[in-house]
Amino acid sequence: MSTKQLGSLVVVGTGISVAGQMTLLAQSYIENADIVFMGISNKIGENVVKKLNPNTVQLDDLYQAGKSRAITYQQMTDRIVDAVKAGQKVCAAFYGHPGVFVNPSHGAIKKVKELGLRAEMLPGISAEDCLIADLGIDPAHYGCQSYEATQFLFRDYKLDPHMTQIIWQIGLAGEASLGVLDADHCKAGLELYQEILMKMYPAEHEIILYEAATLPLYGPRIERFPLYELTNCQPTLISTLVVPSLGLPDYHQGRLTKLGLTQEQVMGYRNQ
Amino acid sequence: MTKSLVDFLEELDSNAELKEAYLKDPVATATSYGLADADVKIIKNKDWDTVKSKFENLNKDIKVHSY
Ligand SMILES: C[S@@+](CC[C@H](N)C(=O)[O-])C[C@H]1O[C@@H](n2cnc3c(N)ncnc32)[C@H](O)[C@@H]1O
Repeated sequence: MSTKQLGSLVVVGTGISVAGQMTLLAQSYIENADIVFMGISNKIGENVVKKLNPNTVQLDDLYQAGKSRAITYQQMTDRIVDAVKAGQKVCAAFYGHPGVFVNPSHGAIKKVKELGLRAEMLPGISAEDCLIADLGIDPAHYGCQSYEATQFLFRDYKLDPHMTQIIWQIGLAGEASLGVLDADHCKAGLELYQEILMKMYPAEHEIILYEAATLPLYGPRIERFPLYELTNCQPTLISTLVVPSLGLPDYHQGRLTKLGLTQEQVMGYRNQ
Repeated sequence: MTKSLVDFLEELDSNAELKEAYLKDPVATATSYGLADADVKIIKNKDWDTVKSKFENLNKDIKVHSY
């Protein structure tokens, strides 16, 4: 009879700030793991994790300029999964929400489940959560489209200007090789965004370059400027671009009729 | 005894009282917390680039997604 422990994986988020956005449960899983893999964007956060569990391994040594991030993410996934296969209780801690714009977390969970072993992701506080709080934008107000800058440019998506646009990784907009580790290659991408957005919004429409505070010493970076200035802005790798809504669209009379309603009725209910 | 900037940053992000005090008076709060003079100076001069270069891994693990 084998008494070998079965490996397992719990993926947690450490939030955008250095310490205070980690949930109690995330902390407890970090503490109780045999090994903790870290994909965290600051050393204070790493330090907090190391205090909870000294047996930590970083994942960032796998990044290399010129190497495709697709390969890096595969290697990160393999590193995490190998530890689970070896029978360890593994915790993988990523900054922000571990499932928001993070390839290896989803990849590792999928593989571990395929092995018939336990894998779970716990939610964390993402950059979008900070954005909602700092900019006072409720995604429900106008609806919201939230997407990766380059993917949007490369594919035939439809943008709805009545919804708030949240554009992630704007500092890498249009960067196809996945091999750069800085935000110096987005000029052509920004130009294309400006062109696309100018067809749907007035040139003076105010847009926002946003960076949640990553250290508690200072507040968020919130730069507001007119759309026609977009190509002059200087995003970093942690910038997110926000294009506020043009306002609510008109009522859809056909759908209201199908529901047995009129616009006046709905407006009446809303104002009650 | 002087306390480290690392400890200060961690506590500032998890202690509401310290955070409120810092928002009201950053330098006095950093001093009474026990930071070394050099660290208090960073806060006084709002030298955030120095703090960032010390503590952020900006060009590395930020990018955990491909398009
Ligand atoms: C690979 S994604 C990781 C997102 C992260 N997992 C989260 O939950 O927010 C990196 C992108 O997230 C956004 N991001 C990360 N940190 C941010 C911050 N401090 N402020 C605003 N956006 C941020 C930017 O769009 C950046 O290009």
